[in-house]
Amino acid sequence: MNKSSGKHINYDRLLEGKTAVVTSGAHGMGKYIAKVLIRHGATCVINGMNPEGERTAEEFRKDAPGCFFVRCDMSDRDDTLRFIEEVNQRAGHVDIVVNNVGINRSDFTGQVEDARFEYTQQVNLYGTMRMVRGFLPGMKKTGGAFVHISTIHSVVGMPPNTAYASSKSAINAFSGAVAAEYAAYGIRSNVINPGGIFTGNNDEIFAEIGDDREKLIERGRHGDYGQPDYGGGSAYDIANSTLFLVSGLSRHITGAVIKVDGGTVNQAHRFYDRRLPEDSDELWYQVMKNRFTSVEDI
Amino acid sequence: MKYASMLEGRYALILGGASQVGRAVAQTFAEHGARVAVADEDRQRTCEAFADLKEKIPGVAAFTEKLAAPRMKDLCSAVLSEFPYVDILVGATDLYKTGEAHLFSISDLRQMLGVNLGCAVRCFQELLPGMKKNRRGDVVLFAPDLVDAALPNTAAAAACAGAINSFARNATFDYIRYHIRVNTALYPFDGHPGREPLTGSPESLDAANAALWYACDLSRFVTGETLNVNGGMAYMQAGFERAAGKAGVRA
Repeated sequence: MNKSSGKHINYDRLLEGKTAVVTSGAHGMGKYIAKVLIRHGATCVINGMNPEGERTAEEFRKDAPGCFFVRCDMSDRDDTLRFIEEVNQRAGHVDIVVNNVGINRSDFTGQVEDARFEYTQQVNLYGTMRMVRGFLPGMKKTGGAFVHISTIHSVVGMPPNTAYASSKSAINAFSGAVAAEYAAYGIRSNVINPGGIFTGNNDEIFAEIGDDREKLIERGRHGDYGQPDYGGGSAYDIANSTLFLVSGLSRHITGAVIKVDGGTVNQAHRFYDRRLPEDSDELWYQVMKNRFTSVEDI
Repeated sequence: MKYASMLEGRYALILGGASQVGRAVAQTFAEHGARVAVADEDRQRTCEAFADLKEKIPGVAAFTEKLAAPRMKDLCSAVLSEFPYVDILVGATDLYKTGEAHLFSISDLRQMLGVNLGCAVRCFQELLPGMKKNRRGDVVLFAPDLVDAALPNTAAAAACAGAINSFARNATFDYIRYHIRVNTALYPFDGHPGREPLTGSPESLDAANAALWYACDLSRFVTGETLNVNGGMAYMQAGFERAAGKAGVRA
């Protein structure tokens, strides 16, 4: 990342001229991460298993003509290496890698099968490692930023989750090691631990709900995943935190693990205070209005 | 979200606003559309720090008040006579003393806690009714990066840092139902030039941008969090020097 003085940061275009790779960026959380990065001037390369990613890339190209999709099975070593090679050739240089890919095939430990456990590690951990290894050489010349989307289950247990949790927890430690190894090259590596996040089609929901008070209150209750903050997070919350971590705003932050979870993990003994204010409907309304309507210009 | 004016319509009080970090926070917040009250105890330092800023950015108001918890009620009253409410509180005071633990008097420790945590707590109490009413409050507390890393001669300062961090993590649960968030940003305690692995020395703007992130909607689902703005110092210990040596960038 740019180490020059940030006194003239253009907060409206934080990633002008940057190229970013967002794994599993064709749908869900990855798509919203890519959208926000593009909003700030980045060109995004996305991958995924499903050819629908081509349609997403087409959508992205309206705002950033250089965006493209490459089909990639990140459980497959050779396919992942081929993806990295193709991106390095087509994009020329990659400044940002968001390791968003993640699958959860967890069973109770007593019943876990080696193959299913191994598959989870291959996609989540090995896939992440290969992305970092593959794009490091280019970044060593100019600096760069990695963000790894992990989970709060990397630090707190929730059954049955052993395969998923262990793969993501390994990513947290992996990121810290990458940060230490490559800080001197101006390469940063940070982790986001999302909590209860609505990862579906946020735009459709936003459009449907609009500023309808009753719908916002209902959505707030529906999205209550038990976190102390209300209504759950949206994919944009992860996307905006990713933006912070890949941009110059965080140029002096590396090795961090940031929880974007409405305070879920910090609850001691899973205690949280559910005493709602007397006018709880008003609270739901205000919170969800803010959460669902403040992204209109993205 | 308007990324170029992320604090439009917000009102902020910055304690220790004449410090390097406090001043950078004030400037950044004002540039993002917030009305900003800065408070520090040295009238001359405060006026000097904000003389040029007030001309460039009209949203800044400077207040002089002794940084002691009992004085914060008067300070908040003065601020609230100019602002309708305050929905962002930043604690950027930085009174920390060093020395071996056995040489520290309890009064030294009490003074550090009073200035660095007590003032913020008292202001929070005074501003809480407005935050609750508006269903919006963002509290950002700065502390030295001694929460989970140790240095010689810093036991008392580390105790303060730990107290600030724990206050933030726990207070968030008292008020989250009013959508009031409390977060901590840790900055390099001694600012060793060139020691941080990443960029040598941080600029105060780096801390200001962390405070901006905490205070605006970019982090609206983040609360009770601790963010190290120290170039990775907390995570690397001594090993980074070897890596830096191999990289040939900085030994």
